[in-house]
Amino acid sequence: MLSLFVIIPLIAAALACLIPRTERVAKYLALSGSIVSLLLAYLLLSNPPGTQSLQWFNVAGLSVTITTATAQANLLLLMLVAIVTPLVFTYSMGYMELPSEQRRFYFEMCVFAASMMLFAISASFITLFIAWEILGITSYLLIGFWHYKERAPTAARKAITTILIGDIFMLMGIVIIGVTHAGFDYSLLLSNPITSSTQLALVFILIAAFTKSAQFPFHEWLSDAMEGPTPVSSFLHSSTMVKAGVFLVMVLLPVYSAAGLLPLILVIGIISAILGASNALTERHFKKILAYSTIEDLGLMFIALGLNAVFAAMILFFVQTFYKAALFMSAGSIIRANNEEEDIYKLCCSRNSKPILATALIGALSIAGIFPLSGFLGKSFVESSAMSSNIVVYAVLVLVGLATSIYAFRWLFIPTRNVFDKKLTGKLGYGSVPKTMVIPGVVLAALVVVATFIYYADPSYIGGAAQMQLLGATEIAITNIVAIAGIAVAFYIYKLGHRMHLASTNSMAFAALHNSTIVNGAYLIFAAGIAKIGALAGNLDFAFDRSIYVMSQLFIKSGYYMRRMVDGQTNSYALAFVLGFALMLLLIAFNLIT
Amino acid sequence: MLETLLMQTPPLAPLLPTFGLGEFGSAELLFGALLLMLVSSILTMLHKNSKIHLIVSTIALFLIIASCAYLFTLTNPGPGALPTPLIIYGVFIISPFSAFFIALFAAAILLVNIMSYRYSSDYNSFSLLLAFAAIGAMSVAMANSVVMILLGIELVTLPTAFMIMMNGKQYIEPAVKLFIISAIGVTMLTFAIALVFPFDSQLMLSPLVPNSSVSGNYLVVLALVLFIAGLSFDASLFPFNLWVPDVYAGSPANITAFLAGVNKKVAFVALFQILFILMLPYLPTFALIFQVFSILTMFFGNIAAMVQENVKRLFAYSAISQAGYIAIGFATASAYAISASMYQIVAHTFMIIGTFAIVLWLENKNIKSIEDYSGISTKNPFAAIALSVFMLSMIGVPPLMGFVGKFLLFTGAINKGLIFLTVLAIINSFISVYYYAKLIIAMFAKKEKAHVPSSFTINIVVWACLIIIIMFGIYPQPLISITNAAANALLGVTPIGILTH
Repeated sequence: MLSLFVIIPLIAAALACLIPRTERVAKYLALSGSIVSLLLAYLLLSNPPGTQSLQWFNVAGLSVTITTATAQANLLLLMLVAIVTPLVFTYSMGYMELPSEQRRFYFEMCVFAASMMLFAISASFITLFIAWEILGITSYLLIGFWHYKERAPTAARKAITTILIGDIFMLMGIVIIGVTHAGFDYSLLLSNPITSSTQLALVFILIAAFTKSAQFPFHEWLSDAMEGPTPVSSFLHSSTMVKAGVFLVMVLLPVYSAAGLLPLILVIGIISAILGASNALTERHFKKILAYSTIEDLGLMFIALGLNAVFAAMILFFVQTFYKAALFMSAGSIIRANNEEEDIYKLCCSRNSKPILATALIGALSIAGIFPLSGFLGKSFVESSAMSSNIVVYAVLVLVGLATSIYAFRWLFIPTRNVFDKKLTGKLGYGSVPKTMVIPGVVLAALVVVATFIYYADPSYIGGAAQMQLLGATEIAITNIVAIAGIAVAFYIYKLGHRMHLASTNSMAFAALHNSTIVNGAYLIFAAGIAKIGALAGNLDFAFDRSIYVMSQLFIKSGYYMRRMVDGQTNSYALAFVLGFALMLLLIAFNLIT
Repeated sequence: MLETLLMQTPPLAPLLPTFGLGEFGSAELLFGALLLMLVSSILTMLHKNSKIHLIVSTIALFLIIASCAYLFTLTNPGPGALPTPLIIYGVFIISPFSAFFIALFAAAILLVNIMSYRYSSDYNSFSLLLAFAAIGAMSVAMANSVVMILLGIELVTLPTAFMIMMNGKQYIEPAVKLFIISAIGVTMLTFAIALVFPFDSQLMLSPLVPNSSVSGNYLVVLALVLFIAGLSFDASLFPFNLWVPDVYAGSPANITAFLAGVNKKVAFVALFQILFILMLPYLPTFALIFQVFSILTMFFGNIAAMVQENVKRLFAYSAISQAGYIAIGFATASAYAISASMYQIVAHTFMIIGTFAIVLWLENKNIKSIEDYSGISTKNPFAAIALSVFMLSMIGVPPLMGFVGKFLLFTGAINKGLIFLTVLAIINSFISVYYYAKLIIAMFAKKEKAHVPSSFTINIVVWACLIIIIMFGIYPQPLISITNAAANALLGVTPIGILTH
């Protein structure tokens, strides 16, 4: 239970933000809370792996426990969240300017960070579900943070709708597990044999994981989620929350493997990776490119899990956090300098933008998979595990890798083509980007580099020694050649300006690549079908409502009669004694007869 | 003197364990604290300084709670083992059951005492009466003989009638009504004891005569009926509860809190002891009676509450319906359900005391009907929120204590196969939403500028009740294990294996 203390500073900060007139100090409260949490998480690292549980209540043979675990995976996610949180809060200090929105923003962010940490250390479905729901709600609130914007409420609604579909499946799965296992701990699932009902529950939980981690066919909410403030995008929708689904499947992977569900995970991962990469190639919205890239990253993680390569998934899981957060932070800074312009073809750079661009470059190199940056590590581990098991998957991965390096440098090159002319455009310019927005990105970029070098220096610090396999030269060569080829293509097309677009906007190829419109159309058709059912249910509900109304009138009428019994006369009360007496004797007689 | 009393070997109790001073010092602490409360009440009657009295009685009540906690752990054998009760002088028994209920009554009386401090016309005499009633309630909880229960009930009810009466002329009517009804109840109890006497001349709380023929013994069945009737008036079970709305609404709210929070619970404790110890061989019979009674009580309380306009009367009816829920535990009659019933007793005690604390304070500001309550949310937000929490807990909304109690009761009933009863109870929960929501809506719908300042003593009581209700609602396991131990101690006295989970 000691591990639950990690979230207390953040909860305290969140509660402190509720106090009126704390607009000015909210950011410092949140930041200090997150730093204390980081320290506590660091102290927790020395804990021996194991689980602790606390009985919440035990009724009618159903034991509900709050269980936390400090296994390696739990501590990994906990540390990631703990490290990213203060950086994101620092970034937000510069990014969120209006005093009126400070308290709300930091309250929601602190609650989110606390629930993410709770999620990281939870080892029972009860704690998991609590954290899972708070994650969904805070995600909804933060996407729609600027609710006065035109598209933000719609995007938030889309996200919460998709996630709630998953939540319902999750609840069904949890209920099935609770009924069949008489408890909610992961360990029960891991130790008992897989039955068909458990298999069904696992599929339901997998669906929930797919909605949370934005996998096909639930992936489109993530690109819309970019309507939220950039700190939110870089925190929730790239580095932490969307990985909750991956993490859950990773923890339960032995069960999934025993239940024979790995092919499903693999297929969904492949489809999502392809869809993410192709949309990222053609998207114009600066942050949405990164969102699609996140979908692709998550798809890669699911591919690794589908290949039962936990170690590869874990490495990618670890390194993706830093480079994706760094990319989002630099994206936010560039957008800020360009007066919130988000079209990639209209963005400009200038002399002042060098630290931001350097951050972006490290992120882009990492995501493209250039040796020795950490993105390369994750990617080549996944690829090598694919190579040894399934050559088709490997081919797909190489293709996706090529697309990745193309879109990553498309994302970087197109804005750098335009030189910033302040007088002409009247834009804010990079001088107006505060230091607090630049430094966290730089720190994250440094972490990308540092994480890499620590890995090479001491490979055992992440993952078990048994799973360690230093990569062969072939994998390194192939990954790098593909990445460099991608960069070359991107350089040729976008930097040199030979062509503005990969495919012209009305060609078939463009439609195939930019398939988010098709998916969104399918969503609409699906939603219309559901709405029809809803209308039917509404009629039923109306009838139900009428019947309730009639019954309530009946009750109220009888209430008027009943209150007359209490007439204030003591002798009638005494008479009731006699009636009660008679009633009891009747019941006893009845009992004797039967 | 007390020590010598306790040192004596009671002639009537062969079960008595060795009763050394050092080991069981806490039993003396308990009695010493009771004595302290009484003596301090009498002394301050003469001295007229009510503040000292409040402090001394608070200390005494805290001492009682502390010694009960100690006695609970001392006598609690842990799960699976037989309980090791202390029998004191043959008439008192201290087991986890009695320790639990003494502590509950002490806490409830403490809260009633604090809330009455500023809202009582003559606090000194009020608290002397309260001290008598407290001793009555506690002696019912630790009674080892049926006569002790009778005396305890009498000792609770009579001071209550005087507490109502001393507030003014308009309170004479409810006091006399309570007096008359309780006189009928006590008469019935006495009759019942007289009928039991030929079969068990010791009148101890031990299972009634395994040797006499149970099925054909109509005199004992009649005694059972009289026992239930004599205690149901105070437990406010239908149809013995018609006086309840009248007297509850007619009394000052602090005494209503006492009536609903302690008086009623004392009757339930007595019912526990008489039915599950003395009358255990007749379990199927009284379980059936209580099935019917709980359904009738819930429907009566809830339906009549729907049409009430006076808030105090509304809560009087609500307290009746809650008694119906508590009675489900008797209707189910398993160890699990008894424990659930105890849980619900605790929950309702604090919900109703918190509620009536707010009602008391507002009634002194001349805010009485639901219409008057509109706009309280802006006049005093804390009161509105706290009252809403209490009402939500009474409805049974998680994560509040009322939810846990109802959940335990319903699962117990379902496990015993009483699906019909459970469905009716859930329908009743639906009905109850109507009138609770009516009040909540009234409180929050209108906005008014005027501010009603809250009172310090009331705030203490409300906060204490709120904390208990929310804490045990979120994390019920400690209290569930306590009530389980209490239920096991209650049933552990009986060697018969009728009651299985």
